[in-house]
Amino acid sequence: MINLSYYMPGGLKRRTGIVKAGVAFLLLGVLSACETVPTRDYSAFVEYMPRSILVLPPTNNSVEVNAPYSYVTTVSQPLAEKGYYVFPVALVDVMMKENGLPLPEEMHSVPLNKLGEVFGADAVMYINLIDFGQKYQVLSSVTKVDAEAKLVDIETGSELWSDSVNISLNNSSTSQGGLLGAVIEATITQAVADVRDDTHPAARMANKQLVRSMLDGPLHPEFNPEAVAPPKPKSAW
Amino acid sequence: MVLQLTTARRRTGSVNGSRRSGMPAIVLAGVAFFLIGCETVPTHYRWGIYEDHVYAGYANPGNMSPRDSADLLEADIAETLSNNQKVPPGVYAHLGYLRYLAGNVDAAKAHFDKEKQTFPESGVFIDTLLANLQGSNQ
Repeated sequence: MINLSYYMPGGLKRRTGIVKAGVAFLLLGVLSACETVPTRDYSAFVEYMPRSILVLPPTNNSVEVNAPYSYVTTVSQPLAEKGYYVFPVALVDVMMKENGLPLPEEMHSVPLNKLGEVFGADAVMYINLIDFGQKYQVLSSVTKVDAEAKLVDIETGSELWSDSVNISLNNSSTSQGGLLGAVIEATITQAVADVRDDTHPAARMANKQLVRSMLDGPLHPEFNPEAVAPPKPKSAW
Repeated sequence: MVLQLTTARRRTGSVNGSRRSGMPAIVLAGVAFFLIGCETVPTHYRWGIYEDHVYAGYANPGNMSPRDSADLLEADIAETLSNNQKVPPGVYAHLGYLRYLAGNVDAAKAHFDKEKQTFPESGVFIDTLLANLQGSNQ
């Protein structure tokens, strides 16, 4: 609203005011865009800032057998955009399987030094799917993605970050492109296969949200090791 | 949206009166940022079909031969490069794996090397892969 005043008759005196208004507006944009305010302790994250992250196929507590693969194939984009090298998820899975570890639970129990030897990753991300899938009711369905993740430094085993996400989407109609379709339209590219599965786009959404509380990594164009927010002091009450 | 469109039109209108033309940039940036929010910040890499492609491989195994699959991904990479955009982490390596499955070990090695060249962070991993390829050749 403020900006419209620029176009009213005025003159040079208005200039500084306009600049201030613009800056204020920019700030407002920044603040309104991201609700996540860092209130956590990032000191270990900063100290062991990884360049590369090995994401293991998630363990799965849901009844949906395909959940780990539906989920892990939405991890690379948000993580890499955050500024990290992300190992190719399918290849990681193949290598684990070829080494006699068919299940995510088994993969998660591999010692860090062994993972370091094979992959040379700086950090490992462990994801657990608490709930995942589509539950059908008479006229609608609910798509749920409930996941927790932690990031561990491969050298020291220190936990650098952890967070969880819980997404529940109601579809007013179970036909394709219902409400859910409209919500996530912008983020899906329904390429290649005819995958009729609302859980995959929901997983994409969940992952994007999940990594928001991570710090920007070294491959991020605006990465600045000095500009990391210090841990917030505890409030007095 | 209405706000942004109005601003844009006004701005175009004032181009001839050059005195103003430099100023609206920061205002526009503010408006744009406010309207766009976090969701559609331009991506650093062009993702193309990569993740959906990998997912399709899991969801419909055997739906497509490794060779066709590799051709598709390679065409997608070519599009990324022709647009002067960046190929994301893991894509060259995945293509190498598909070429390996299709029986083309030389192409597989070339793509693995490309991954390492593009992202030195993958070095140890690529060396492991190459060693495995070597082993499977004997």
